[in-house]
Amino acid sequence: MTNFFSVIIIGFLIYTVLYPLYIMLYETFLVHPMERFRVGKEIGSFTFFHWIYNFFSEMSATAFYKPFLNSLIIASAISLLALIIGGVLAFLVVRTNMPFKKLISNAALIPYIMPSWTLALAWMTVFKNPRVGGTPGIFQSLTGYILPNWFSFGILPIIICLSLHYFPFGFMLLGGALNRIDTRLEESAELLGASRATIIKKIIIPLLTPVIFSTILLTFTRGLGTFGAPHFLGGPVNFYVLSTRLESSLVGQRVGSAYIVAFVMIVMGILILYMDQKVIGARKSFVTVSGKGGDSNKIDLGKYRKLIAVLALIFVIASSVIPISILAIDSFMLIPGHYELSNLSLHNWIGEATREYGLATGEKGILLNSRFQSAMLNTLQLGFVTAIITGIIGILVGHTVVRLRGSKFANFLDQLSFLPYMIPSIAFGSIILALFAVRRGPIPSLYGSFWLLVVACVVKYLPYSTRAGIGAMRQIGPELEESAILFGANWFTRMKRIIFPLQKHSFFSGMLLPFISAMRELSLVVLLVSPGNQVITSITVMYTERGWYPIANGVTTLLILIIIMLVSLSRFLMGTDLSKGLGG
Amino acid sequence: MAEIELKNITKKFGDVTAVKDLDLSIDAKEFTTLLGPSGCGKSTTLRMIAGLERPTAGEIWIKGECVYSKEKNIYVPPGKRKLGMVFQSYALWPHLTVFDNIAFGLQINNKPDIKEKTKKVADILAIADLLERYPNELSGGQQQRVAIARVLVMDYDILLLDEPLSNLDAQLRMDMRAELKRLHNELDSTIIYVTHDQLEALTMSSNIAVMNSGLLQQYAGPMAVYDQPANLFTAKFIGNPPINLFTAELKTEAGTKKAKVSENLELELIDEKFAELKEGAEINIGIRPEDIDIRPISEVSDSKYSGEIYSVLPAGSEWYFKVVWKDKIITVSEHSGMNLDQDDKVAISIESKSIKLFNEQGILVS
Repeated sequence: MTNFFSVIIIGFLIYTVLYPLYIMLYETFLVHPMERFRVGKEIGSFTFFHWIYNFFSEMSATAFYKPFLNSLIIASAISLLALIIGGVLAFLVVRTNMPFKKLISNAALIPYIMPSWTLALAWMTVFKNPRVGGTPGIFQSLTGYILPNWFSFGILPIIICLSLHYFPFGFMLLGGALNRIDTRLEESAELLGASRATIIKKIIIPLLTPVIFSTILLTFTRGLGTFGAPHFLGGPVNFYVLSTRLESSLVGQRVGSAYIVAFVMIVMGILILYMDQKVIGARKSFVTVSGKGGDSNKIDLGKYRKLIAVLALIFVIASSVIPISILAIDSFMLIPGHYELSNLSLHNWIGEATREYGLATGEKGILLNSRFQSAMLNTLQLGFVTAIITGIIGILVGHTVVRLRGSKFANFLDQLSFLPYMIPSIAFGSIILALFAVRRGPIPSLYGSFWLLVVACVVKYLPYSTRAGIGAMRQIGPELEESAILFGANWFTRMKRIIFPLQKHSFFSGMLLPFISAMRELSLVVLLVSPGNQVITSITVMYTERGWYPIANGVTTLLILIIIMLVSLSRFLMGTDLSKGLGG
Repeated sequence: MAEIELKNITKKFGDVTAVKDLDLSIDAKEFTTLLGPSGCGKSTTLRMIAGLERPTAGEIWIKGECVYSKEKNIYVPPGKRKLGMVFQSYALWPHLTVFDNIAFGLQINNKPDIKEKTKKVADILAIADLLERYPNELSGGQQQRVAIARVLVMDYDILLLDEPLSNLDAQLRMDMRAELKRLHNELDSTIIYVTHDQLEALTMSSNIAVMNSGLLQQYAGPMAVYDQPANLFTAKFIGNPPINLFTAELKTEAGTKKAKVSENLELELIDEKFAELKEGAEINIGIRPEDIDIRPISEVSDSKYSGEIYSVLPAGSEWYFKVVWKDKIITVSEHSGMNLDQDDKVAISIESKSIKLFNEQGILVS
């Protein structure tokens, strides 16, 4: 029965991941409707035009090479920064006697829960210069000083915002690994007379090498695929990366060129996965689960422990609470850009439609606006449906992979279910778009349907739940199931009475990340939403494009608050653990 | 008729052969032990009987019904074979109480009187006051009892036990051996027991199947396995301290057969059963430590062999000696220490009948 489901899942993944790759590649050699005059051939005929355009023409620099280089720089910078920031925080929390550990490690996860572009919005709200037109940022409004472009927009703020968003990733991975290192390995070095510094250099860092590489590579891929921050902060100064180039090509009806960009991103993602598995995979077993050390292994920070804790706290607050507060404050500004107490108003939240004052949008306030309400409903539905489906598939895949360990079938399922993780989000969005844009055999075109978003999110976030499922199933010996088999328990009975009750916690934990991700996702869904099927994130983009920043900021604040509330609730009710189910 | 019959069973995992051409016939109400070192195929054999593994070739019959046949494409799933199994790890479901663990089989098979039956079994195994607890709140011995209760409650008359005592401490293991043996007699059930512990096998079984590298080495009663080990492997594997083994060459001197162990160590082989062995054959000689007797050299006037104490190893009720005998070191077991000390000279005597001789193929000559 497990095999039966696994075959279905494999079929589903082949159709939604492998097959569209082929379609995309195929489309890069075709002439599409709006390209007829540019290419000079009939629609649907074969052409190398797109490949030449992207790689070997006068346009190549703008169409491909510059964005490519920018993407590489940004992805490299953020993966390094995320590693360093996350690593230092993880070390402080796991291995020193710093106070406020719980508070700091909880607060350090918030940036990860927020949409990646929250920080970009907050940055703009504070440091915007008149370049984009409209109102000035808080900084300019208070000081009167006009910030230069390089500070307000472009590569620097993108790197800062994304690093602050991705450091929790490094924090969780490295913190988990540090926790699992067998302290006896360090104790034996200590008994041989090694100093703290020597132990860190000679034992801890080499042991962590696999996790360090995984963190870098995984952050790199996600940085490659992210769309929001480069869109908000790069757009105004015509700064493009691969993801924003892909989007603008699709919007500009340069389908062939767009798919080539997506294809390059996917190839890079797969190369990284390959590197991770081949170069580092063999050494992953270094870090083994074993006894935890006592306090003897905690470094005494001495009189600096309070100071360091305060600094760490300030940092995590600066990267989470402050941006959210800025967005929240901005949403209460009646006249955008006038940061005065007298300008505070609830108009953006509960105001009636008017063209007289405020943003003069002619729309109702956020809480009364039906467009917003339906988007919120869609977002919540998307989160829950994605979570439930990925959760169930995660357990089934985990069950098959662990029980059939070593078989080719299990390995194939294992790798196939992880593949979407390495495909940059926006590229994956375009894959799903390519697949479901038209009717294919019995499978209808899903464009414009809510289910298109569900399919995209389920497949894209499946790796979270399958990793969690595999990890959890490894903890359960086969005998627990075998003894039920001997009593004649069939597959459903075993699932219902043994596997699921045992896996309850990991099941919900495995659902948590897909849930959060689906709710805050922009990169993946930005190509897939249609006017009738907006989600909160896509509506935010729409509002910022119109310059309605206070409303966009308010909507984002609300989304973050709702996510944080639901995550805390699930932690309280079901004991879910966010750090479970991360790759690596 | 045999209760359980394995016919020519072979099991391969990829290129590795776990069990090869195994024929085994187990009678009803017997306590049969599959004994061997880890990786010998004993657990695989048990799992094939249970139906958790499918043999690569061969047939399995239970109570006259074929439950597996590769050739005839028959496979009766484990739940339909009506046999209980206790796992090494006990495999108690951690999310269920002791009661629910025991009652599970009855519940999913919609049996009547679940409460009464569960309580009755719990009483037999003295765990009636633990029914509301969870497995992780129990001691190792209690978990073990729950695992057995879970199987007993089903009234199956075939029980498969996979190293059930190996996670218990020494004292408890001893107690459980006695209890399992009593349980076997009271229940009148057929038990197949897997262990790598020869003492467990010897003390509990009616029959022992010694296995090594997937091959059946010997299938006989415990005393037969000990006294007449069918081959070198069985001889070496069974017995603690292990049997003394020498390679030797067979020769005849003045009408007496002798085993030449080395240049200056020769053993006389008087027994008739050695008569047919060929001159010059490469053989193995095995002597159990308790079949060798040593005395301080001063107490014995005419000793055929003599040696020197290498080390003295008192073990409470018994004393073990390592003795240098020419260029070999042998193990000897005695009931007292005889005030012997390291480097003391001793007289060595061996009962000729107790010498076990293995031919060139390593098979016991008897």
